[in-house]
Amino acid sequence: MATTTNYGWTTPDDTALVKDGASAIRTLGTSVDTTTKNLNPETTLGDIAYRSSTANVNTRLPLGTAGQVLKVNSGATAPEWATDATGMSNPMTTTGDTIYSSSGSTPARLAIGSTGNVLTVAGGVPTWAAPAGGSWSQSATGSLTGATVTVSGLSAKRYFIIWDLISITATAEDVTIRLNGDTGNNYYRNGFTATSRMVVTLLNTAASQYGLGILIDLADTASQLKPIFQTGSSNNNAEGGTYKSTSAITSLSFSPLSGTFDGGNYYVWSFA
Amino acid sequence: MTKTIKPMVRIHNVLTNEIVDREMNDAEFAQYKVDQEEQAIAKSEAKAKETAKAAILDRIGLTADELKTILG
Repeated sequence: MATTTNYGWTTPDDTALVKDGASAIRTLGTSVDTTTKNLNPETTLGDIAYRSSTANVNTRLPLGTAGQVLKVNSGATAPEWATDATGMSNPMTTTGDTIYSSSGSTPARLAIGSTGNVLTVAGGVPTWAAPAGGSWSQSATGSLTGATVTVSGLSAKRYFIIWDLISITATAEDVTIRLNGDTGNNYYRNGFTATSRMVVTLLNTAASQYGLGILIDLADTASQLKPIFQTGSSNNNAEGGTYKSTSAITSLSFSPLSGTFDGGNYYVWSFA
Repeated sequence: MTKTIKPMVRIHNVLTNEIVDREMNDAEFAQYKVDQEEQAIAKSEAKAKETAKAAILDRIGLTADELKTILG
């Protein structure tokens, strides 16, 4: 008996008798029906078919549920609809945040530390902390301008502030320092009488290009007297003084005694 | 009515690195004027002291350097 090339359906031989034609056609039709059904197993809207391990027999894959994606099954033998692997939930909320694994694969937020902090480990997780033994780092820099330049937000243990190339519109002028904007008589320069501001002597000549450095120790916040040490390009300017206050120092204002700044820079270094 | 031009101030927050340049507010300007007056008085007193010193030196016929030598 003859068969078709691709699916092997049985067809009448050329010499077959006509009287057997009905039976032959029925046999062929049944074969076509079976094969067609095997190749199209879908029964429901959304079904798809994939080839099974048997030639010319496909397998029905019913439609998955909402949000599922088509993946290869765990045995890598067939496609399947499955829920997509959930991405990591972002725990960061603020500029400077970082992420670490708090337990296993659970992501956790690590907020940014303070200026000068370093990343260290505590309790098995990373944390920002002041470097052991402390260190100096530059907190800010800018140019001198106007009648007063105030650096605010001071919170570290110590500050070293450098002003260089100080230029003032009024010649032969000194500069003055105030802390926390305090105008009370709480400033003692070289142990002299209390004044309402710390006057710093610059080189009193017509030239007006000076440098000045000042170290303020805020480490002992309980102390009433905050030591201030200063040195500059004056004839005799290497001085010390104190600021009498129980308040934490949060700002330092730098002003010429008269005139305004028309040049110069400031550099703020903090020790944390 | 003309507006008083107040000096400019710069405020630099070292925590946020934000720099604000603005005119002095009323309280700052009031203190600024007090400071300026104190400074003018101090300068005037210093000048008067220098003048008096020069007058004494002139009266006794010494220069400032000569006086330094004597006192040194």
